[in-house]
Amino acid sequence: MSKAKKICVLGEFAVGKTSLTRRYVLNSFSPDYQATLGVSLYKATANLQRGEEVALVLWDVEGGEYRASALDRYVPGASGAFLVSDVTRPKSVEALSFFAERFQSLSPGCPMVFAANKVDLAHQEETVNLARDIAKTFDASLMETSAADGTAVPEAFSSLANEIYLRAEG
Amino acid sequence: MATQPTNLSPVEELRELILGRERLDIQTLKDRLGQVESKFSSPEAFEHEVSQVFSGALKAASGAERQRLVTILSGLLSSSVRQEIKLAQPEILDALYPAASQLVAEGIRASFRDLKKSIEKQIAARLSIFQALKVKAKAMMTGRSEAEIWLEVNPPFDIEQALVIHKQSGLLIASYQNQSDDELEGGGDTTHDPDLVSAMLTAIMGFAKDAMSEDSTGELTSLEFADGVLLIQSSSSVILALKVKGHPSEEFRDCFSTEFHSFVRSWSGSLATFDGELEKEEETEINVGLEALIDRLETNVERPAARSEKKSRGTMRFVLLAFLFVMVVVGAFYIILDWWRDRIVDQAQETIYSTASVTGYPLTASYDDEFNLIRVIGIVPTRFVAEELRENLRRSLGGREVSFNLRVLHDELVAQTAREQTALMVTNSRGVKKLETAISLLRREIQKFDAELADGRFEDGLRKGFAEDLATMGNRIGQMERFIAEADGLRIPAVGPVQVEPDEETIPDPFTETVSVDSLSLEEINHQLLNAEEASCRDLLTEFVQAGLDNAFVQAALNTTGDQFSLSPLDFEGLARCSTFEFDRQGQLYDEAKAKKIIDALAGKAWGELGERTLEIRAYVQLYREETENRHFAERIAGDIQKRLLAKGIPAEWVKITPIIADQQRVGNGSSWRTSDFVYFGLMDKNQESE
Repeated sequence: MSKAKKICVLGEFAVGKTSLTRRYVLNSFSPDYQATLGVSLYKATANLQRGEEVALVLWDVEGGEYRASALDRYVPGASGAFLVSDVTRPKSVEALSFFAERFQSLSPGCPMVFAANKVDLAHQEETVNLARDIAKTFDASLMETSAADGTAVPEAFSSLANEIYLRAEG
Repeated sequence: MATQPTNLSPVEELRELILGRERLDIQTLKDRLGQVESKFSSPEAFEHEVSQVFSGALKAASGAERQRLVTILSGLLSSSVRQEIKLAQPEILDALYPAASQLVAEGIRASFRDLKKSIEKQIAARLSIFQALKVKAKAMMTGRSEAEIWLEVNPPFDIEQALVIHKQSGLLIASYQNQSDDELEGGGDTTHDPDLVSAMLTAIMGFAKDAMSEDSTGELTSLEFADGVLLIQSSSSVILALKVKGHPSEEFRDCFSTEFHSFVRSWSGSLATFDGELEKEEETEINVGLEALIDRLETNVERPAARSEKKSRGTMRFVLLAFLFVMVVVGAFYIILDWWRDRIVDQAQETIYSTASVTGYPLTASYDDEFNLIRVIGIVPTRFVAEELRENLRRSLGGREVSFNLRVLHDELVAQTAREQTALMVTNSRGVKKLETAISLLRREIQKFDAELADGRFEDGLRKGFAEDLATMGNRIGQMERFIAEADGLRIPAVGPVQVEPDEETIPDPFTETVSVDSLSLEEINHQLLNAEEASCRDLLTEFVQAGLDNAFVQAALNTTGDQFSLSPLDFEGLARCSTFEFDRQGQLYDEAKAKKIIDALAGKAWGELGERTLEIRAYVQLYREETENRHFAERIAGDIQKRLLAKGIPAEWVKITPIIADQQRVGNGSSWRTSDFVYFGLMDKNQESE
């Protein structure tokens, strides 16, 4: 039995969605910023805690609340979402709620994992806490990640993959 | 710590004590700085120093900050390479050639393999004699190669890949990859992961729907590439994408749509609830279903050009069949018509043959296509016979329309012949009567003499001798009486003399001429005939005829066709020799003036009884092709000759005109397109049948 799941990577622009995804899939990082237009697609294989493998098709959707229509187009059918914020930009953390709500409305009941990204640049405790609070309100976990140095990146995606299956079984 | 006495001032000594170490350090630094400055003071020195560590630095950077290094260098290198290519193209081409040529060659080989496979597939599937001929004809007319036209008419077309995609998530449900394409590409291209292709296609479709379609229900249905098309069918839950090489026809698209909807109906439950996972059995079944769908598309649906080809071929086939049918019907009609006409003509000819009174007379039945009737043309001896023949034909042909063109021999001639016969018979009868009277008188004399013998007037011996003589005489008289009785046919018929009109022309009496003929061998006759002049020919002919030559077939043929009026001996084998004169069939051969000469020559001679032979004049009008036109021509000539001969007073029973159809192979030079019709006259033993 083959398994594949669609996961959407959402968040404000320039929070590091593409960097996180590329770090996870390609194990690479570029400090140069190139905005994603539309969606970028990646495929990765995750090992579940119960010993199985699952193919993850990652939809790296362009950021920005003003591009809400992109969410409507690309999110449906997703089994989970990875919501990314930039700890150096509090506004990007605040925007998590918008993306989380939007995701829940488009893929009801599907798990989310929040990422407080760019922790390598500066540890903004306050911002991280804000993100954690938002995650809690959506019954989701928060991972402090860094695409630049790879901190907690695999764990974050694996966590989401496991959560998807736990949620499905539960 | 003991201090060394110095000559320094106290201040200087104090400075030394406080700053001595720092001063030393500064001096050391100055020295080192000087050394560094000397290393980088000139570009050459700087380059030297950097070159020593540059490769090491790059190596270190490629490990720790590889991506950054790549990003920094890529732009620089790209510009440098472009510039270098511009400046040193030949050198770069030389350097690249060994590797690039192999890649290009491999690419070309792959393309040719692909093309060859495609053409072979199409040829195996669809090449018909008709199509091959059509391509050949087009190639000949346009001066292009057959392959070019074939590719134009039937561009390569193949189903390469199929993807069944969950519409909402973009996840791949099932896929099909053309095995041969996969092999050609060297085991598959890992850069085109079906999962990613599926996801991207779904994204593109979503984007196109939002951005391009004014009608929100509209969907992207195809993506066209240079050499192929991605056909897309989608339902509410599933997308089926079919990648084909070449350009599909509308019919193919319709079939694809039908098959898709059938596929969706078959798997609606599994497809609608798909969440990225399928049970093994279910996955197998869907994949099998997808392969079956592809098989049906490949086998049941014609390729684009083939469809139109088939349409036109179908139309052509129908037209051809219709044409053939019409031809067969028309052909059969004409065959039956010909057979029917031949049958009627045969029937008419058979009736003519079976009419005894016209035996030997030139009579021919033919079918007139123009007026749709039977024509009977020829010569009959009398009007009564003509009427008899008409009645026989009408009866045998069952009332079919018959046109008669019969020439009746002159009744005068017939009457003349009858008068002559009657006169002859009268003469004979008188002779017989006189003979009977004489016999009667003789018998009476015998009886009287016998009575005198009985009276004893003679001596016994003499009487005995006379009695024997009388008995012998009586026997001989009895024998004469029997002869007379047997010659009873010479007596005048009881019906009396035939009433005839007086003949205008004087008919030469064949018995009045006497010709003395020396006996000659056949070779001598032939030799003399071949070398004879016209005038002497006639004499020779007469002599030969009257000589009663052993060879009954020695004939004199008067050839009307040569420039010279010639007379040549003929036997039937010799017939072929006479035919060396060839003419066109327009009638040039029949020189009426010459024919008249021949007839005059023949008519001026004595025909009839020669010894025990009765000779007749035969005129053969020979033609080498049995065509209606020729036959009519021959009949016309025959009729003309007969008329002339009869006009000369030659008895009809001596004249026989026969149109004959000769074997074309007997023509001297073998030309099959020219007739060699000719007329020859000959004398023939009536008792010997000619061929």
